[in-house]
Formats: sequence, structure tokens, C-alpha cells
Amino acid sequence: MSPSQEVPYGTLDLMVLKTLHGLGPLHGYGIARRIEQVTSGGLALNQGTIYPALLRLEQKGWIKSSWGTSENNRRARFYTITAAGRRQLNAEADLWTRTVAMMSRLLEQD
Amino acid sequence: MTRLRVLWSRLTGTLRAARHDRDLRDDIAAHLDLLTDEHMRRGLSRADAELAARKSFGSIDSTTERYRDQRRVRLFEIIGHDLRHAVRQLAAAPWFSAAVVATLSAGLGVALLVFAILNAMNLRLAPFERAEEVFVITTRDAQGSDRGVSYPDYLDWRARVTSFTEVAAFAGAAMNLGAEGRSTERVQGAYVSAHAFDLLGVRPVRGRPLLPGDDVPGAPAVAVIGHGVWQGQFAGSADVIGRAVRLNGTPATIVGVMPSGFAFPLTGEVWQPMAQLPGVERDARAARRIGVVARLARGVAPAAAAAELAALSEALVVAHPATNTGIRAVAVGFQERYLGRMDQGPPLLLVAAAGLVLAIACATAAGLLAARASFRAPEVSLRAALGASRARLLAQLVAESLVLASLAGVAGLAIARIGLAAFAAQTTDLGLPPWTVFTMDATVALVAAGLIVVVTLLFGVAPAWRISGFTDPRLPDDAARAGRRTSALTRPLVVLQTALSVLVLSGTWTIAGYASRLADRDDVIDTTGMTVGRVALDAAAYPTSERRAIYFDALRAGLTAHPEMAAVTIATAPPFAFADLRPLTIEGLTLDDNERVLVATTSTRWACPSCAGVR
Repeated sequence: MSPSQEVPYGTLDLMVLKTLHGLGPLHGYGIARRIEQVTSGGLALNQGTIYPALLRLEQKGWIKSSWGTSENNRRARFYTITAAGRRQLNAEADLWTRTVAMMSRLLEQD
Repeated sequence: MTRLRVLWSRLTGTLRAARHDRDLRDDIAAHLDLLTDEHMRRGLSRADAELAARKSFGSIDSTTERYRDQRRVRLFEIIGHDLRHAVRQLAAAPWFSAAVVATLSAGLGVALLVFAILNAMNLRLAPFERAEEVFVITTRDAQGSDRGVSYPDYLDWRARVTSFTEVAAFAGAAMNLGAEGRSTERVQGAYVSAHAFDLLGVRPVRGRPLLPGDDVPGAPAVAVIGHGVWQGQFAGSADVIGRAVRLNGTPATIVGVMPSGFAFPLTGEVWQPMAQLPGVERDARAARRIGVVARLARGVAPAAAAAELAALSEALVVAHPATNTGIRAVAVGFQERYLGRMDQGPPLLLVAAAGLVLAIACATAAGLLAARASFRAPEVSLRAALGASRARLLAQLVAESLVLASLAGVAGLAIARIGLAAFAAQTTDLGLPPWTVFTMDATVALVAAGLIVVVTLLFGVAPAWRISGFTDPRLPDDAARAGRRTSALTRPLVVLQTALSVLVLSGTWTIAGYASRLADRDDVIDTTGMTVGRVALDAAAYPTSERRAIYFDALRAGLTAHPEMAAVTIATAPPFAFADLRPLTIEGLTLDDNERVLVATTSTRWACPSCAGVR
């Protein structure tokens, strides 16, 4: 297996929600950087793909955005997780934990 | 809930596309700047840092495109794009497009013309209040022939029936209308019960309607006239109410003018009370010479009314077996009684013929599209190679058909309009009621829109399915291959088209045969140089047949003396025209239930084979 893999389908949304939950309001760059740091370069993330994901989450009402100024004085959108987003995060995280546990048990069998 | 929110967000996103694009550009610019700064902090030059930033970010175009897809309702854009593309495609092949549009507009024109005619004849109801509740009650004999209504039967019905809120009698009649200082003119009119206008829910625009007091024997003779008669015979004069006129030689006073567009029962425009119909109150039960109009009570089903009429008929058979045996009363919708029904008989035949013509037009157009398939193959293969799904290719091709069908629909409406005007001009003197106006209306336009969709599906989908399957990217070979492949579709189309054409041709041939035989009336009667006139003698002035014979003798002598008259005869009707049809029983001949021998009778005192020209 190559050291850095593609983002598994459907996991980017969860990563974004978790990042916003842990760090509070962030812009797209901050979210992408944080995901890269946490996965320690294990993911080949095209940072641009974060934007369709952000829009998707916003359309679902799980995050909201407001305009602000970035560290280098650029106009940028800052995203915040909503209450619905937190509920979604908990549900998704639960599902992941259970899925991972199940897969581990399955794979550890001889 | 989430789904609704997403849809709403997408809809607004579609509408505010420009703003959203600008926002995303700002986001991306800020992101790239931050990335560049980060790389420069790690010691890269600005140029290298910018490059590295681009690399980390990935394709901006792809991001923008995916963002847009996420943002808006793609369908609207796809439809708009497909239609624009279709128009460009068709404009690039004007002769082909014109041929398809011409073919389809011929089919659509015929279909819409037929619909417009039936629409005018069957769907436009008489200008009565809630016209759908107005029925004509008539009688049928055991064979199902219409027998009319006798005045005594009408009085019995009116006294007993409960399914109808009101029942009124009428008798259509030609009336000679004379007024002082004017020549007498023959107008269509009717004797009606005084409450008939009330039943129909139509009030006079001037003066008063007929009143119960007018409709008793010996009451002063009054008349109500139609708007057309008022405008034509009385030049719309304001003092027409109270004007003394002569109707069939008898003085009467005009008391009211009915609104424009009103006629009763069909084309009648002068009305007198039933009591003015000579001898009506002495009519025998066997004298079935009047008509009856009735308004169905609210909430009563026509079937329930029919059952009640059947029961009433039974009772009358018991009471008057000599005259009423085998006679049953039936209620027929007013419009249906006079103008027929759209869903049976000749109208249905007309619809079937129009449908056939439209089907042929569709088959021909489909053939044209299939024939052009080989030209489309390279383009379609290329688009397929670039990743267009078959559904997208299909949608694009059907969009072209929709544009063609829409153009044909507009042309078809124009054709139908011209045809309708010609039809209207041909039918002005056929005795159609004033509310049967042959004009286009919203219903016809709506049907046109529906037909456009149907036609698109009929002629566009099959070739589009075929063409959208040309996904082989080996372009140079494809034209030839496409040509071979389309023949698989074209062949059944050609067979279908030929079969339909033969059907229509033979049908047209048959109809044309009838028409030409009708036109060659010389077969039966030589009508050259023949003139027909009608005379009605007033029953009060000529009460006996002797008196009438004296008049007719004098009339004939006078006409014969005229140098331009070769021969003159006086009869109840011209041969084969306006004749009384009477059922005839022939001794020794047994007929099936649905078979009858009818004879047309014409009575005359003077044999005149030469002037009748009967061969």
C-alpha cells in the first residue's frame, strides 16, 4: 500500500465536521491544514476538494459560514459547526467506531 | 427536512450564480495566498511557493466545476443548454429541418383542424344558464326511431316528473315576419311555453319575456324577437318594443328582445307563446309534433331521470295503449340532441382519420431523422468518447425533436386556423346555431401543446435511441457503419409508413368516390335550370284543402304563364329533398329488428316528370 492514500469516499465530510467541532471557526485553508496535520501526511488531499464538501455541509445545515479576514488580511469565509452538525458528527463517529471495531475483529481472525 | 433545505439552497444557488462564483473565487484566492505564505516560510522563493501552492490545492477548474454542480439545480441548465444546442444544430441543417417541420406541420395541422371543428360543434355549449343541465326529452319507438312528443304527453310529463325542475314545450316553425313599411321576410322561429326562457335562464335585453298570461288561448298575440332580427329587420331601433307586426299573416305585438348570440331551439329568432300554435290544445295524443326541453334537477343523476321517464312512459302506455304502446320517453343532452356526440359516428371517424395522418407524418419525420443519423454519428461518437452518458446524448437528441415539433406545432396552428376559416365559410348556411363559432380558442392551443409533446415522443425517441448508441470512437468508419445500422430502424419505419399511407389513400379514395357520386346528382335528377321555392299558407286564412287548392291552382297558372318557365309543379317537397321519411311494412317480408324499409314521400296534384327530371 502506498504511504499516502486517497480520501476514502464519504469520510471528508466527517473529517471537516470533527475539525470544526474541535477547533471552532476556521477557513478552508485552516481546515485543510488541520486534516493534513492530524493524518500526518497519510492522505493525498487535494485541498481544493474541501470547498465542494463545505458547500455540501452548509446546504445540509450542519455548518454555517460568515465572512471574515484571514491571517494575511484576505477576505475569507469562516465556517462554524451548528447544533445539527454536532448531532450528525456524533452519529457518524459512532457508526465509524462500530464499523472499525467490526472490521478489526473480522480481519484479526485467522 | 435536510433534503428540502438542500433543494432550497440549490434553487437559490441557481438564481444567484454570479455572486456565488465570486465568493468562491475569493475563497480560493485567500487559500492560495495562505498556502504560498506557508511554503515561503519553509524557504521557497515566491515563484516556487506559488507553484507548490497550486500543486497542494489541486485543479482550480475541477474544484470550481464540482462546487457549481453542488450548488445548483443542474437540470434547468441542462435543459436550457440542450435547447440552445438543438437550435444551433437545426439551424446548421436548414433544409433538413424545414422538411421535418413541413411534414409534421401537415399532420399537426390536420389533427388540430379536426379538433377545432369538433371543439366548436361539441364542446361549446348553448348560451343557457348551466347549459349542461338542459336536456331535450323526446320519445323513441320500439325500433329506436325518434318520434317527437305530443302535446297531451307533454302536459302529463310536466305534471308528474320530479327529476327535472322545469319542463317546457316548443315547436320550431318558419315564420313570415311582416311589419309596416317593410316587405315580409321568412325567419326561423318557434312557439315556446311561456316559462321556456326562464327554464333556460336567459332574460331579454329589452322589454319583457313571454309571461304565463300570454300563453293561454285567446290571449293577445305577442312575440319576442332575437337580437339578430332586431338589428336586421328593425335596424336596432329603440322603439321596437310595442311594435305591431304580422307573423304568418296574424297581427302580433313585439314585447321583448333576447340577447345577442341567443337562439332557440337551434336557429330560431322569433318566439311566440305555445298557445299561438294553431290547434295545439286540441292535438291528439298520437300527433307527435312538438319538442320538449327540460332542466335536470341539481343532484339528480341522468340515469335516475331516465328511470323516472321510463316509469312515466309505462304509466302512459297503460292509460293510453292505442297511442303510446312501444313509445318511451328519453332525455338527451341539449347539445348532443342537436349537434351529435364527439365520441361516436362520423366525428370519431374524422378523429381516427386525423390520427392516421398524424401517425404517417410522425413516421415520415422519424424516417428523415434516421436517414440523417449517419451525419450525426461522428459528433455523437465524439461526445460519447468525451464522457457524455447515453442519457445525456438521448436528452440532447430529443431536445432537437422537441424544437422541430414545436415549430411544426406553431405552423400546424396556423394551418388549422386557415382551414377553420374555410370550413366556417362553407358552413354558414347549414343551420348551425349562433354559438357554434368556428374559431380557435385556448382549448385548441392547449391540445396543440399536448400534441407537440406526443409527436416529439412518437417521432423523436426511436431515432434518438438509435443514434445515441453510436459510441464507437473510430470516427472515419462510423459514417458507413451508422448507415448500415440505421437501416435496421428505417426498414420497419418504411413498412409502417407505407402501410399507413395505403390505408389513408384507400380511405380517401372511398370518401372521394362517395363525394363524386353525390356531386353527380345527374344520376338521379337533372337539376340544370331548376328552381325551387317554398310557400307556407296560413292555416287561419286557408282552413280547408279546397281553399288551398284554389290558391295553388292560381299560383301554378300564374307561374306557367311566365315566358321563362318551361314547366311548373307544386308538391309537398322536391323529390329526395326535405321529404317525410315513413316506415313501410311490406306484406310477406319479415325484417330483422334493426332493419326497416323507409320511403320518402312527396305528394303532388300534378304529375310532372319532365320538370322533376327523374330518370
